[in-house]
Amino acid sequence: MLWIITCRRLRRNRRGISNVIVVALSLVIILAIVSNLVLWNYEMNEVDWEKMKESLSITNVEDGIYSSWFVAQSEYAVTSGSRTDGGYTDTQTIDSNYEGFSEAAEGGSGETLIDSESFEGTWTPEGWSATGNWAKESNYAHDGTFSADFDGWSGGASGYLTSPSMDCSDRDAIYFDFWWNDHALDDNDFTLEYYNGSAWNPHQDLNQVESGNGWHHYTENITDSQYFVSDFQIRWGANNLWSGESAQIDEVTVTKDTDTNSSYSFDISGPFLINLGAYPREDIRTVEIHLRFRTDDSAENWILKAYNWESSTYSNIGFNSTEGFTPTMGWDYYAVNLTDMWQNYVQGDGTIDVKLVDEGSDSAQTAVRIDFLGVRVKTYGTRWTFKNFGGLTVHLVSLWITNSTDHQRIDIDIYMNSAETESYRRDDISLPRGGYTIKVVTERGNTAVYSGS
Amino acid sequence: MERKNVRKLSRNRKGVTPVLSSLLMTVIAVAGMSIAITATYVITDGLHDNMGERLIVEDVWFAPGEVSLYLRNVGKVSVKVDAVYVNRVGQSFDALELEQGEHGWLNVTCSWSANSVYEIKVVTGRGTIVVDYYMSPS
Repeated sequence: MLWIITCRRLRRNRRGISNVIVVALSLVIILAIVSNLVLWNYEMNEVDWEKMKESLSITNVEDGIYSSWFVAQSEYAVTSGSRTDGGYTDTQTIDSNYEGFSEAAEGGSGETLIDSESFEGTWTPEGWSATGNWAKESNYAHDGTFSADFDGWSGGASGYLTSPSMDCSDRDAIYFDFWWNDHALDDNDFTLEYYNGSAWNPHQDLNQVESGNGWHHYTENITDSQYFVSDFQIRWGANNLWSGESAQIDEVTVTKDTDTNSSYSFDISGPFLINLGAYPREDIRTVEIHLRFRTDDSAENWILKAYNWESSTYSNIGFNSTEGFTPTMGWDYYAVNLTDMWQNYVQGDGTIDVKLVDEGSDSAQTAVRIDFLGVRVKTYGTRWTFKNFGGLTVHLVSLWITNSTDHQRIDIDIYMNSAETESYRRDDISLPRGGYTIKVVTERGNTAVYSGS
Repeated sequence: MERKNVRKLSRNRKGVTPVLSSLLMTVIAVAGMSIAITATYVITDGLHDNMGERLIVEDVWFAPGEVSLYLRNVGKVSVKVDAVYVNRVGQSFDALELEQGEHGWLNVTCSWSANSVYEIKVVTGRGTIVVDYYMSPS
């Protein structure tokens, strides 16, 4: 109503209308300017609000980049001791499976009964007997030129290869070691039997001990007293092998021991192949060997070594720790770092030959269970891991590595979605020795800090 | 025609005063509102830039004879460092101006002692203050 009256008055008296228009227009302009400021204030508040909502942290900083694990690809060579459980594949991952070993007696009144028979001479060797298709053949051999070979045929073939009779009476252990080759064998195709003086006892289905074509190493410390007889024998049975299936035996060794004045020792070794294609030598800073194992004796010290290609011996010279590890009888981790001496231990093709030994013989026979044994390389460089805990995407723009003597700044350009974890790796940057601080700065101006040494 | 009107006005002066007063009022209104608009613009423009300033200190490095601060402009306008105070004492420094998103070292000539706490205040040309305490290394 008031507005209508005012309009009517203005229509009647037009003298002040120009001033009203000027003032009104000016007020509109002032309002626009102030509105712009209010909107700008809103925008900057939004910026501050977003900054407050950012939540970032540096969850891990790795000095050097670790490779994945290089694990055993073949059975360990047991120089002293015997395998009691599992196989090398059980040592490839940390899990509930393990490969079991037992220390072997040495000293005392040990005696070699069969000395690395590799079937190179007359067939059958003296004292041995064979039935069926067992023969000396050269198409497969683990050592020398020949092995004892059983070839299957159509319709199936069976036969035994039997060791000489061995006097094992008054003994406490028989150490048995041989290599066998699996060529398309199935379960129950190839078995191992022991003679206790009166009967043959089935002992192992070898295909269930190790499966897969190729040579396998079998070792055992026989402590079952029924075999400590004067005519102990071992025989390998090929059972119903068809054409295309065959089994070979090589390097058979049998020794017997008493524990009178004897001592027990342990020595296994195996090659690990580092992938130098993925990790060239010039990028490698060092090599680490990790072992997860369990023993039933906490009074003995265990040592990891590697074959030194320079000195042609197994050694731990140059390792970060050479004093070995005394286990707790639980599952223990034992790791060594080869420092910058790793070059002496890694062959040109990336092979590193790792050995686990006890420090010295003792009177207790120790059982050793290896859950994991692996090698990994550590390359130059640094890896940072960031975690965005906030609800907004963050843009990381700056990374700082500072210590008392240097403040190094790195330009980065990383976007991280909400709740995302991101790793950032730089091969050209190494962390300083001693204490250091890592800072990462976001585009909105927040900082996350990590302290390490 | 125009001359005719002027002659009419010079002969009949009865309508001159209202015209002049209206004209004068219009001039006054325009001038007044221009001043008001200009003042509003100047004031809000300053506030606008003030509100848009955001500056962070990414790093502080105590080097012999100087303290270096790494600054990043995270605001919406350019920033010019106008003064630096260490423990409330003004210090000389290398001039630094950062455009939006830019970053760089601000080198402040200043002696310092090991294991001491310093209050370092950076003041921009528009009056934004960034202040914090920093511990010198041992």
